[in-house]
Amino acid sequence: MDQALAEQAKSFFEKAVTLETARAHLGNKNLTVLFKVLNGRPFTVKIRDGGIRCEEAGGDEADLQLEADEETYRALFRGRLSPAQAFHRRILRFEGIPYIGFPWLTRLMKLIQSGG
Amino acid sequence: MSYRSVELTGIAKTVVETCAGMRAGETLLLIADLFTDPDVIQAMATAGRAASGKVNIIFRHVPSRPHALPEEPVAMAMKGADVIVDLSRYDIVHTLPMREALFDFGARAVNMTGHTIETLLAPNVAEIDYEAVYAKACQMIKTIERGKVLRYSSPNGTNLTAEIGGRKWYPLAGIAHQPGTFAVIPIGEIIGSAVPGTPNGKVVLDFLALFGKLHTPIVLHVEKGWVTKVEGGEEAEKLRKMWEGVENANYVGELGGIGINPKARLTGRIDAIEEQMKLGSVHIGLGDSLTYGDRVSSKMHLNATFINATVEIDGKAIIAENRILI
Repeated sequence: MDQALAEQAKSFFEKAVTLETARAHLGNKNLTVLFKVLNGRPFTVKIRDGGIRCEEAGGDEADLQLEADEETYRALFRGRLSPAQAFHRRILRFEGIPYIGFPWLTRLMKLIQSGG
Repeated sequence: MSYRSVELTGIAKTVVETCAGMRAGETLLLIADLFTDPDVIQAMATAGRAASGKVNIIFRHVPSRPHALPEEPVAMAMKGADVIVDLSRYDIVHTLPMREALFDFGARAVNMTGHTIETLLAPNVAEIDYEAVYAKACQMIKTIERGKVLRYSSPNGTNLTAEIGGRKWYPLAGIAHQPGTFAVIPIGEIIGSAVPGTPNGKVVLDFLALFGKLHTPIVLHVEKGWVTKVEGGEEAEKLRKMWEGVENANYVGELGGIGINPKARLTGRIDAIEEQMKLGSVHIGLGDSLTYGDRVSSKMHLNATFINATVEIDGKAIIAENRILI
């Protein structure tokens, strides 16, 4: 597993993003996002009433499943690449129909931008 | 004032308020071009203003081909809009500027490209209960997503099965209220893909996008998700030639297109759009699958339609004889 990427994500989601900010973007919806990493181990970000947790992926059902390589995730998290650009370049993929995932991803990216 | 303009006011109000869910204070962007009827622009602008929206109209340079990128001023305007309604000739749904507007900036969009006053006043647009169709689409999706095996059949010989366990389907049925969503007029269809490698059987086509109504049905033989044999007349030969050199053009990338518009007709138009949406019609998408939740990429995506379809989930019909049974 790419520890550096997972740690970076953990640090980011659990420290930089407040639950209050998350609620502002997500309404009262809970959200589980599964990040599949090409050639790496997947991790999840769970936003719940109790807080925001980033952890190694288990068997939980995710609202949104993404797949990309490390470099793409890093670019997304740092705001160097937008979800639309990544999808358009076919370096970010969704499990399931993208139309379902995109509204969630849009909210997630706004959340990331607000905390970054 | 003409009676047509009164009727247009009704459909414009439906698009702005029901389809896009526009709220007071939101920004509406109308994209038009030389081919857009001024009465349509006026009706849409009036509807946007009546919804207490901030209405902006931009005229797009007419490109020489469909799916061309919008010019930069148009792209910029799209990023600032809450609701985008495209009234121009060629759609830009799959372009990067539209994806950025929807997915990065959280806009909602309604694609109304290529319409005339006549097509907007046709029953499949003007006489639809949009919320009811959307609700029915969502109900049908719940049934489909609980199922394991989907089967299509039709009187002209279609018999195709595919596994669908665990696959997600989506209602392309006229409601775009969430950021990043879009609707297409006319509505409506339910779209999704099969478990990769599982579609098997035969599809006998009545219509094909870019061809319109077929003079001789085209028969597609499908094995493990790929069209392995194409039979028919001159149009079948034309299809085979179109596919030459196009990687993955013969992949069943979209299992549905299941049409659910009760007022859609068989118009014989070359794009076969209304046929695809018609309740009782089914189209499979040949080629690119990424938009439908599969992983096979192609430069081509061609919608292939058959009519009078029976749709079964785990042996139980959900559509037959042009009626929804659930």
